[in-house]
Amino acid sequence: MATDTDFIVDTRPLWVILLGRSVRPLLLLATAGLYWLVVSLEPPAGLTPEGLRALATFVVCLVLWVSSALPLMITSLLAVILLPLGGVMPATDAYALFGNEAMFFILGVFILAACVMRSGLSTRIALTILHRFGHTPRGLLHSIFFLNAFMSFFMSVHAVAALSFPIIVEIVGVLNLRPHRSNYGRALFLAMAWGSTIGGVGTLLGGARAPLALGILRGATGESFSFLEWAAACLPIVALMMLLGLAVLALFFPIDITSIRDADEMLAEKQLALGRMRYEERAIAMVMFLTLLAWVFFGESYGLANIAIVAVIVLFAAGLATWHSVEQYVNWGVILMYGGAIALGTAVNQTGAALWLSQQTVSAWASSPSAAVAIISGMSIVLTESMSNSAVVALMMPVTLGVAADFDMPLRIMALVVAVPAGLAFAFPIGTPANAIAFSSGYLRMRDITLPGAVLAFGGWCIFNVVANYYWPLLGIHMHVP
Amino acid sequence: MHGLKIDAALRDRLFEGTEARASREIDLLLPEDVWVQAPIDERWTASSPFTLANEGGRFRLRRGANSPLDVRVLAPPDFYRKRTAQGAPMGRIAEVHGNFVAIDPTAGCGFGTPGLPCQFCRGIGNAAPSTLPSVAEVVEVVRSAFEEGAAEFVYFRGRCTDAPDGGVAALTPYIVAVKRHFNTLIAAQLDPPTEQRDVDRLYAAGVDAVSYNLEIYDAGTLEQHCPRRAQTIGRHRYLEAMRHATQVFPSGTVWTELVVGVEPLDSTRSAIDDLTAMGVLPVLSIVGPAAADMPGIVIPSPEELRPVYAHLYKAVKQQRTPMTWVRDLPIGVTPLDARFFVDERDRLSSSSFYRSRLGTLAARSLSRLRRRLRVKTVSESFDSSRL
Repeated sequence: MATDTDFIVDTRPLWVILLGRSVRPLLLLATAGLYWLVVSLEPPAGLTPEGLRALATFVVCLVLWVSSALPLMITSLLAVILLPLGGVMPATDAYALFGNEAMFFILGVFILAACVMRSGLSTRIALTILHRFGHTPRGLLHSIFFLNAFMSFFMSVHAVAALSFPIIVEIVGVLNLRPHRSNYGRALFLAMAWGSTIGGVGTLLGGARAPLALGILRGATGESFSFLEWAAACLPIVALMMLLGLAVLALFFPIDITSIRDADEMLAEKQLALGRMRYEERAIAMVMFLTLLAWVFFGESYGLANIAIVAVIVLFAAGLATWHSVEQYVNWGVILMYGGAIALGTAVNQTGAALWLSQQTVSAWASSPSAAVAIISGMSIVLTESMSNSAVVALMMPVTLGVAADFDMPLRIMALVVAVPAGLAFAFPIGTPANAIAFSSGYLRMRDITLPGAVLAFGGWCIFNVVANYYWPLLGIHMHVP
Repeated sequence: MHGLKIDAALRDRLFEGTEARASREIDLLLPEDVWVQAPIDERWTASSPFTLANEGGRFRLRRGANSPLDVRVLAPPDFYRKRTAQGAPMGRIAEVHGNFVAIDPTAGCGFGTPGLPCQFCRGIGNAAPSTLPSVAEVVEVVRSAFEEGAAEFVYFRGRCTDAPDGGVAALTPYIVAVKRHFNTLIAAQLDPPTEQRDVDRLYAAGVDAVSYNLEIYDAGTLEQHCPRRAQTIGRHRYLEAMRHATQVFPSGTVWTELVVGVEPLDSTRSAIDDLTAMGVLPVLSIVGPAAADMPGIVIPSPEELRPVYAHLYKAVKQQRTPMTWVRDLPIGVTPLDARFFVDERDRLSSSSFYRSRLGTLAARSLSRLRRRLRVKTVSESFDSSRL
């Protein structure tokens, strides 16, 4: 029985509801049939029988991830059991891929972020910055935009959005901004969502996409990126996207209020209520800072995951965290999803299926490495508007590794080409949790997100390709193997 | 309308050991499965032409010198004489009418001011109880009623509240508990809420049929006789709640009572037309003897009533709204009861399947399936979006 607030009554005709409910079981049956059909085929030229079975598993996951007929993490578990059952790889190898370094890096990041949030440190940072810089309507809007982007360098995008959402709800409340009517109200929520999303592509900490892409890359090729290399490659994209985001906000939502004094006072009161910084906050801030330095300077030699786990152990040893307090912040669904995706990506690549698939698709459409990057990044951006960012990475990475081999490109560049655009979802509430949180405010209509978001996404695609072609070579990330 | 005379010995035998409230009305089952509730309080029935007598073990209803009609009397069930584990008389918590057990844990009547007797209540004067029964007590009483075979369904009455939700929040724990413990259908009668979300909430909690009893359709007459309701709730809120409820609840499960005799019969006819067009089933009850001498009240004659009942049946039939969900309400004439007022050739062919054990099982199962399909848990939709 539904709880008091957690339900909706669907008043569409019953036959429509029944039809909708039948789609999932029918789709699951069709997917099972598709798997059986693919594995029954004679392997085409250039594809081994193991490759064909890996491809069949990939197709099953593709359908299920895109359709969400099963939760993403359950599809991943299905992939892990289909690989050994289909004879693609031994069960011990498939399950061993769950122990990938990327998984432990994500786990460590979740726990660190949980400690930051639980201690109130993140709230303090948010209120301090907003109160310091947000004295005018434009100043407050920009503060929210930049604050969310900055915090997403260190915390996952949806955690940042969830953290700042209640503050913005209070701001629009004290300013008496009317839902669906106030340009400023709409701009504030979009600044929150877009700032978080853009900032999330800046480092390896902003979301689990990048660690997943690196996990698949490492599983398939043994190559990777250091923390600093990744940030250096992505931060210019963030900077340009921020400028574009501000321009889009100003263009679509001209500020329609002149004073935010009430909001300013509210922020001052909240900051006052926090009091002075406590020992716990200072200590966690120190651990986070040292962890960041360790990722930058020792990430390559000691491993990102090892550093993250050491930081977690230090927090627990110092009594700054308890398991009970952080376990609710650890998204075990993500962990399961990534384990399966990494196993699948590795299998598709090692059996040659990725190469064969890429030759039939992107490699056949593209005429040069730059064109291939443009196509892949475009596909990632389009797919991520309707799919989980991580699912896009899980789907695209194996194929793009094949494309890289086709065009004689460095394999590791594909982690950037897939993971960064996969984070640029702006046009639909379902694209990313940050958009969904903004939409849930009631201040935004669908068209308030869709059109400006589409402009931003297209701009993002252009910026990404310009950066990939002209800036990355300066860092030594070339389109061709030198 | 007139009530029913019943001799003292029979009354004592029928109502021995029960609460006074249960002994002021009697439910009769007439031939063709028509339930009727008749006042038997001597204050109002002295001039009634109807008498009920037990003749050789059979109950016979007589009107003057006319030939008697064999009827079944719903004797007060045994559980009226029991007490709950907490010591409350069960008969004070629930009443059996027709084939349902009626429970009004939060209030008595929606006509008057909260806590005061209602001027139309046929002398019952069922003011709001001073202490509410606990959820456990209600479950206990329903269990007793079901085990005894006294009722099949549960009917919650939660009127007479100033709460903006119409009493949904107060009733919900009882509804949820009964639904959890018994495989039964639940009807509820409440004040209309200010937010339609509360109608959804009622359905999601487990209510299968709902009644927002407008009782007087004409706005001026409503204002005259029920100023509290007219001012604090208003006719518009009733109509909006019913309109929304017809979208949420199954077709033929939203009903409203209209009291015949308080407003002109033409007004009742137009009420029937408007309400049936919305998908609402009007149930026509007649103003009780307690209110018969009030100013502006004109008790219509049976000849005047017959075409109104026929109109009710035809209007519902024309809208193709199912009539079998709202039935066996002794307090009024349901559209299904009204079929006897049209020519036989105009009646829909009906079977008694819906009354059979299999029919009841099908109704319960379909109702449960429908709720499962219609009520969606939002968090399930976001199952994977957190990634």
